[in-house]
Amino acid sequence: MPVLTLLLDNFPIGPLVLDASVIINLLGSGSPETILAATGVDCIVVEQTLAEITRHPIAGLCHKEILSALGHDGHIQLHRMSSEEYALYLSLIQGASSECLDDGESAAIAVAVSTKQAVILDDGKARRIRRERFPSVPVVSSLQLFVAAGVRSGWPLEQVRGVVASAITTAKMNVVKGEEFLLRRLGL
Amino acid sequence: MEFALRVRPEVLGARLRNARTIARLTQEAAAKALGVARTTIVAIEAGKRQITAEELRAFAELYRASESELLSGARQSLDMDVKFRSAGAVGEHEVEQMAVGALLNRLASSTLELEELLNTRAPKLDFPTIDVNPDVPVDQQAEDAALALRQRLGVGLGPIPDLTALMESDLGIRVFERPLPSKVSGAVAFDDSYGAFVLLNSNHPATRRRQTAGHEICHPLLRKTGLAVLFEDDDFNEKEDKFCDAFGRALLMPAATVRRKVTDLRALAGTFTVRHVLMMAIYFYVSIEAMTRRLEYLGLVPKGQFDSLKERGLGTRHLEEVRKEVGGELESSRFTPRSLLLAGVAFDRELMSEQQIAKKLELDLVTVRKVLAEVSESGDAGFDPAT
Repeated sequence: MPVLTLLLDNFPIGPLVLDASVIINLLGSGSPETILAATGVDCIVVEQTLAEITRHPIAGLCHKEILSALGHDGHIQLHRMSSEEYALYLSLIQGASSECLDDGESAAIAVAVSTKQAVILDDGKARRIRRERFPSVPVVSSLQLFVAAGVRSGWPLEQVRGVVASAITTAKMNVVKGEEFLLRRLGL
Repeated sequence: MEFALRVRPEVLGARLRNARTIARLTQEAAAKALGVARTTIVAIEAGKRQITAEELRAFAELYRASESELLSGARQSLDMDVKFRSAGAVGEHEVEQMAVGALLNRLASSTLELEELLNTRAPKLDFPTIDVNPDVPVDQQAEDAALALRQRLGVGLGPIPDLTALMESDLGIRVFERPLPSKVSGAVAFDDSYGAFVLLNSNHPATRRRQTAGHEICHPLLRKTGLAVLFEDDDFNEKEDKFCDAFGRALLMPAATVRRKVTDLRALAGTFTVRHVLMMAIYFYVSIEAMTRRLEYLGLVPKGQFDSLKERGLGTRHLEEVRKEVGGELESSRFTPRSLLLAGVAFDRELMSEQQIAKKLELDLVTVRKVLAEVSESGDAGFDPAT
């Protein structure tokens, strides 16, 4: 996977803060534990983000059990916002409709800003607000996470393709604008 | 970092009071859980005391409420009053009526917010107000009104395959389909300024939803302001409800077309059979019961025919067998409900995130993603007249 390997140059080696949409994609992939373990980085989920996920059922999956197991096995770390982070979070959910975000994505961005860690976001508006207000915060996508997991752990292309295809089918994962080439590389 | 509250204290107070009610907590219980005096809760809910960030977090956690909803800068819920349809049903169905009414108010508010965000409005209801004349039989007036609406909409006398699209694009009625308690068929809300909103029970079969929609269309045409919830066992004591019920049937199954179809089938087969009733139900996209009762009403089959057929075991299975033979699948709409189309545009323009859309339209994220994939420009090459 030479082209896919190039992605690793930009993929963070430190902890990642996950947005609710990303976790839905991970659940939809059918292999969240394998992917997170293969990535080899700590993944942080903020309380408010977790609360959002539980609102969104995926047919045939039991969120609570899977997320609880992921937490128990150390694949995700539940984070309670500090007062500073919470105040920043509140500033992100307030204001004009076009300029505020939902709880899950606001919480993820607030913690990424505070801890200077990378955030995984797929949503166009969330990425726009991150870009406009916090340009120094690194951002990656669900698709990059899946590919990075495969490359770092030396998966065959078919395995990466399988988890991505499953996330698209089961969780209706969106592909971030500009990353369509990655899908093509995977043969999807 | 300081917390700057952008929502007015009295608005936040009202939302906190609502969240506490939903959490089924008294002011006393909430105060105890939060370690504050009851008077503090009273003052905050009345908007007379500012709230700190940590207090807000404590309230949100205790009530399991979303901070974004508590602090939303969007319009307040429309709060159109629920009009109880019949005196007998008030006590029996009050809880469902209030819950369904609140849901429709929230969906209406979210849709108006989307419209404001995109600077667009639903088409204005362009149909003369219907006045029900007490001296003329209701059924007769309903037949005439349904025919007049069909003429105005230019849909002739044939079946209406996509009633939802017609309601949204030509009548300016915003339509929602969400799971509701099984006894509830739907709800309708109308306001002179904001227009009309109809909520249908997505758990009900498509044919039943169409019948409900046919009934609910009538309320805005009567300019009945407020919000009303329709139950499947409603006996329509009020004249206007009776009118709407007859109007819905007449709209979906125009008398002239029903008569002509029966005549044609009889001429072709030499008789009019149960199988023909099923074929007609498929043709008009209605249930066996609706079709048979309409035939009874028009004197085309004997009175009591439906009850007799039901006793003999006629049901959906038979309808599906005929459907397989003659086709006429009730296809899901190619016209996505307008609110979801608006959501697609807001998503494409990066004005709303998928999570915001899911919350505002009270849908799960995977459902929203499915719809966005269909309606958003990113999933559609589009038609460019220049190329």
